[in-house]
Order: sequence, then structure tokens, then C-alpha cells
Amino acid sequence: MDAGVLQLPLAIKLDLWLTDQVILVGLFALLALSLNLINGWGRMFSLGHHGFYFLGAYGAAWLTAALPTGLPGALVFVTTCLFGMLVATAGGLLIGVPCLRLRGDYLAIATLGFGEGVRLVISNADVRVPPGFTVPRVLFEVNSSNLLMYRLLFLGIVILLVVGVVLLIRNYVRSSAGRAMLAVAQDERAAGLLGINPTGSKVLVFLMGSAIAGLAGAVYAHYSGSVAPKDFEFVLMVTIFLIVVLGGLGSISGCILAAFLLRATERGLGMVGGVVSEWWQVEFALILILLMIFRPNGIFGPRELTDVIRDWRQRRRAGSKA
Amino acid sequence: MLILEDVDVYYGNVQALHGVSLRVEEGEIVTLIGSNGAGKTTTLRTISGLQSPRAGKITFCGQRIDGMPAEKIVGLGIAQSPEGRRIFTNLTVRENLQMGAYLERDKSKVRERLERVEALFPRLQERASQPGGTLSGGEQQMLAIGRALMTGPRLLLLDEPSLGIAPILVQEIFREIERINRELGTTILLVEQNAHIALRLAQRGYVLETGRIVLEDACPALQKNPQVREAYLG
Repeated sequence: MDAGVLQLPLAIKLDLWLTDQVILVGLFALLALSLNLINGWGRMFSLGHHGFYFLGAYGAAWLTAALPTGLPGALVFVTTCLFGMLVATAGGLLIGVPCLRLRGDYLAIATLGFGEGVRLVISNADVRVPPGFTVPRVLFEVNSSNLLMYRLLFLGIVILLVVGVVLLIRNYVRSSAGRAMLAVAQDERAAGLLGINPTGSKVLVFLMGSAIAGLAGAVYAHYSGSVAPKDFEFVLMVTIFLIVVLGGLGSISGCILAAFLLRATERGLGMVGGVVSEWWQVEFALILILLMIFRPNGIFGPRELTDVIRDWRQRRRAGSKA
Repeated sequence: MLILEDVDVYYGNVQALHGVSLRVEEGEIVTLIGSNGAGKTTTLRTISGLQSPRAGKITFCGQRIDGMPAEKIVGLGIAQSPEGRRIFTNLTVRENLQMGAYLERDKSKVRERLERVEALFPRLQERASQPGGTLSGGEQQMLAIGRALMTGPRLLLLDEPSLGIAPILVQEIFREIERINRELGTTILLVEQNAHIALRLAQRGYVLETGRIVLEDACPALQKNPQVREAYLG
């Protein structure tokens, strides 16, 4: 962030901080929704989601730096985002096709190796990509006077993407291919007996998940203006996983709510903590323990917020009659 | 229609089927009886492509199908209602049935099949929007058979449709199996531990013992066979 920001009035600083927080919540929601597609609806245990986020971010950053200057900014933005998505999907194909025959823990180990591996290899190899590098601003030059505009623009983009992904998942789960995914998740063999190709169905879901994570990574690269390997460490995967478990495997609204809750409490604790800014580590562990005791299926389980409200209303109506 | 010739199947190093040969003709109901662990389920799994034979040949309507993946074999017209029903508990009854028509792109055909299956098992229509997991064992069995019929099969493989089901429902289910054969013209290969009821329904039968076919005959003859009477009809 440039120095000019420090001299801005408090109200603007607060706005800046808030938009930044909401954008990050949105990106986490995208990551969690896409992981939920794989782990929740698809019932595959993947621990490599940060790898796809990384590939998307680095893919987009690399292409942005490599493209000649002077092209229209919006065009560069869209192209590089699609490229980041493509790179992440290619990564998904690379790890998914050989590994999706694995089950449970084995798949988790393989994907974890992938997620950590791509980051370590790319950040250590000399592939014309320095380990961390700045991403040229393509939409417009940012300075302290238009920083808020810039953030609001990204806020809009992220909200649009979250809405898009929510609609995509909702429609997919209700489609024939989506139901096939649910069938395969529950009983591969029975699904195979009905003419569904279980591996094909799983690969498709895995690729959708990795593509969305890649897109989130690409948007992040453009938003932050720089990418560095330390932004994509395993702790990121832990956070996404925690959001998915907290929100409920197979719940869209749970996922978004959990992304918000986790981010808000983590920030809050960071401020209270002062010297010990690592309070989130305690929080995460505590959340997992409490979750396993009180709500092992997440806040809503596989249900949605709307289902919960409907049930609650029905119960209240029944209660007032009695 | 379906011919198995000298089929050997192994699980790892353990041989489960020893040179199994059998045939099913178009329009027949054929039963495969035998005790636990005789290889009945393995035989059906091998026909459906969930298990590959190490030796031998399987042909369906003149086409080799051994070694084909399960989803291809379904497309050729062989459906299986698996042992233990294996319905999708998290999908509704209607969705379970629709999953059966996964390969059928023609919507009007899917609707036609759905109507036929629901006419056959009216309970499935009554419970269409319930999650599959809330059905009773007998209803789940109807759902598993209905789901297999939704693939539009020419040959239906039924694995232990009487297993763990109330006797009164077993009667009902077997009446429906007969109707499927008579009214829809679907050929049926029935695997059963309950030899009484299987031999009454089928026209021909095979007796499987520790992975080998030891007897084959028309069902009335099998019912009178002293060996069968002693071992399976008690």
C-alpha cells in the first residue's frame, strides 16, 4: 500500500479497510465453495486446493507481465483471468486423472503433495518467474486518491463471481450430471451399474473445483498487485477446509456464512491480541474441537440457510398452536 | 442371448469361479442358486463388468462383453439390481429412478419408462419425493429393481431380491418380477439363496457350489432332484 494512504481521513481509511476485508471474505468464499464441490458434494477428500489458487494467481500474474503493454486493460484482465483458470484446470487434470481412483486418505495425501509441490517447484525453479513479483495494474493506475474506487471495482467483481458460482453449483447439483455426482459420491459401484462413469464424473467435479479456485487466484493476483509464495502456504488450505467443515459439507449458504465468520473473528482476535497476533491458531483449533463435539456436520449440515429458516418457522407455528 | 463359457474369476490369488458356463435365452427366467459364498454374486458382477474374468468368454447377443467397463455394458442392455439394494439414500425416490435413465437422452422415453415402473410399483409413485433412505427394506428393493428397469434393459440381473425382506413383501416382489418378464418381455437372470421361491418362478436353473456349476436343469426337475432337495429345499 502506498504511503499516501496514511494521510487519508479516518472515514476513508475505514472504508478502504472494510472493502479489503469483504473482498478477502469473497475470495475465501469462492475457494470454500469450490472445495465444497469436491469435498462436500463430490465426497472426495482433497487437500490441494491452495495449489490451484496458486496456479491461477501465478498464471494470471505471469501472463499479465508477459503481454505487451498498451492493450486495453479490461481485455488483459479478462484474458489473464481465463488463463489463470486454464492453468489451474490443467493442474487439476494432471493430478486428478491419475489420483481420483484413490480413496479417502490416499487421495488427501496425493492432493496435499500436489498443492505443496507446485508452489515449492515454481518458487524455486528458474522459470522466468521470480518467486514473488508485482503484477502490473491493468484496469487503471492506482494511487491514494482512487484506491477506494479500485477496491470497490474489485468488490463488485468478487461479488459477481460469488453469485455466479453459487448459481453454477445450484444448477449443477440439480442437473443430471450433478445428480450423477451425488450418486457416485454415495456409491460408485451402484452408479457404475446405471451407466455412469464414476471416474469421469469425479474428474469433472474436480476440474470444476480447480477452475474456480484458479479464477479466484487470478482475481487475487490482480487485486493485490503482487504475488509471493508465502501467500499460498498450507495454512491457507487449512483455512479453506475449516470454512467448508464449519459451513457444512454440501451447503452453499453455510460456506459463505462460515467464510465471513471465520474471517471476522480472525481479524477481531488479531486486533485484541496485540502482541500475540497469532491468536487465530488457537481459534482454529478450538473451532474444530467444538465443531466436532456440538455440530459434527457443520453449522447447517448439508442443508441451506433457507431450509433452516423454514423449519424454524414451522416449529414456531406448531409451538404457538400448542 | 447371454453366454458364459469357462469363466474363471479371481480375487487376488483366490479363485472365486472355476470354469463357469451358462446360457440365458431371450425371454427366459433363469435362476442361479447356491449357498453363501458359492460365487453367485461374483457371477453377476462379472457379467456386469464390475469384475474381469481371468479366463473364459462372455457374449451378449453375439458381442464379447468380458473386460468391458460396467457403464458400457449397461448401454448394451444389461441392468443389475445389486445385492443389498444399494439405492442412493440422499436422493429422492424419483431421482433414484431418474438416475437409472442416465444414459437415455430422449426425454419422452424416460417419461414412458418412469410411468411403466411406477405402474409396476405404485408405492414408488406414492413416495416419489421422499429420500430413498426413508423407505422400508422391501420398498428399497422395489426401488432398486425399478431403477434397473429405468435403464431400459433387455436382460435384468437380480441379486438376492428376497434378502432381508418381510415374507409378505417377498411374495409381492416376486409377483412383480414375473410381470416384468411377461409384460415387458425382459429376460431375467435371478440369483437367490431362497431356492424355494426361485425354483417356482424360473423356468431353468443352475446350482453353483464353491465356484463351480454342479447342476443344470429345468426347474421342475431341480425341485424333484434329491440332491437339491436335501441341500437347498430342506
